[in-house]
Amino acid sequence: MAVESVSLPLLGEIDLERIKVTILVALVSVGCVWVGLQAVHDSWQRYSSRALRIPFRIILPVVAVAAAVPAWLGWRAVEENVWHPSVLVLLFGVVVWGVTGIHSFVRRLLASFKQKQPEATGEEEQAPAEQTDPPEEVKGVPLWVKGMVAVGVVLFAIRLPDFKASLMDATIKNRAAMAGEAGRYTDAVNLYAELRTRHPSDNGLKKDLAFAQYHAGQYYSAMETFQLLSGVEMASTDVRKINAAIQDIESKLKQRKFLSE
Amino acid sequence: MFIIPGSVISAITFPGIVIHELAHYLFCMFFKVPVFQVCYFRFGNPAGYVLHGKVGNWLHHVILSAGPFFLNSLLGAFLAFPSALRVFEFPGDATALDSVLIWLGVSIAMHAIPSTGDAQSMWSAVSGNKAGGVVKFCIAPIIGVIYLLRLGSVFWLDAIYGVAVCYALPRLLVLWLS
Repeated sequence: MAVESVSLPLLGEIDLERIKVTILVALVSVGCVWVGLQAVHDSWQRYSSRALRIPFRIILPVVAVAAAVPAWLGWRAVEENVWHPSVLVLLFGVVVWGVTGIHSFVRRLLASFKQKQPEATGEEEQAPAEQTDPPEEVKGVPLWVKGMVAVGVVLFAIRLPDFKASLMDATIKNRAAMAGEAGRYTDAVNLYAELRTRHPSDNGLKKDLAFAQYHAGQYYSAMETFQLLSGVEMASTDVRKINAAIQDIESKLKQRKFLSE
Repeated sequence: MFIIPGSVISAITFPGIVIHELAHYLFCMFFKVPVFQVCYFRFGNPAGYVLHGKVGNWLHHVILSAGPFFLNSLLGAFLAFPSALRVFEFPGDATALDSVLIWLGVSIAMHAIPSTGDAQSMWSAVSGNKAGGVVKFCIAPIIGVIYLLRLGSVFWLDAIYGVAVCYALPRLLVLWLS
């Protein structure tokens, strides 16, 4: 597939996708940070009697830095062609912050419209006040709680597409274990070997494969697989079992060699 | 026995406390019970609470008190669902995102067990003439179990429950598919 690229004065040849992603991320970040600051301002006004005035000379650098960091991470992500989870979490965090900010802004806007209504009728102000006010009822869930739930759901959504593969692999692992328990060691070896190609760094799988190979009589393969575990920190019981298996394999191989001679 | 102060556990597993109080609040809204104050999280005992008005009947009161048990358990299992197999079956392949989801899931599920305050509230809903003898007979063991589970939290029973909830669902799925 041909990669579309453009030549820029200081940056040289850059592919278009990278520019698009960076601009998009920067724009979204600027918008979200801006609205997020509005939300902070709103919250301050709601809970504090003191007026909060944030001067532009502080707002602008904050917005610029907060937008530049995700944009830079987006730029790096495209360069490495990998959307690292931390980048996604950061971006989604910014988006959630922005969404909650927008929500707060809309609510403030709607509330301002509602407040104007009594003035229009002129009746509310004349209504006699009650002697004892009932305690004020809590309405709605705070933005930070909604944001927290949203972050959880977003992280869940990011991880969900991989679930099918994890489920299949876990099922194969379970089938392999069941085959091993039933004495069908060759089936177990095949299943563990299939898994090992997809999870090459999993030491537990290496151990299970090696034992299945040992029980299936595939001694050379078992020795090779056990060799992969050298230097790996394991439970003392596992180490003892592995050492016993290796000694047994060595003695069997010697015996086999002796008989063939 | 490895004992960590409750406030530290609360701070580490704060999403669970937030969801626990949110569940109380949502059930109050569902049963149209007025809520006067909600503390989703704080550094103190209790770490969160909901102050609400009079509840219509004893059944609503019981559901309102036991609500977090269902919501926290379901949400914990739901959030940890995609990462649980990777973390428990193939730990070598787990990423930071998996760890975050498991932390969220276990934190939320381990705060599913109703507090002793919830149990007291549940009992007050059925005590006296508010409910019949059969109802009291059914509710009393539940309250007893809650107190036992709370006592068991000293032995990390709540954390064990959290891990079990997060791992059980995907594990059952794997056993069924095998």
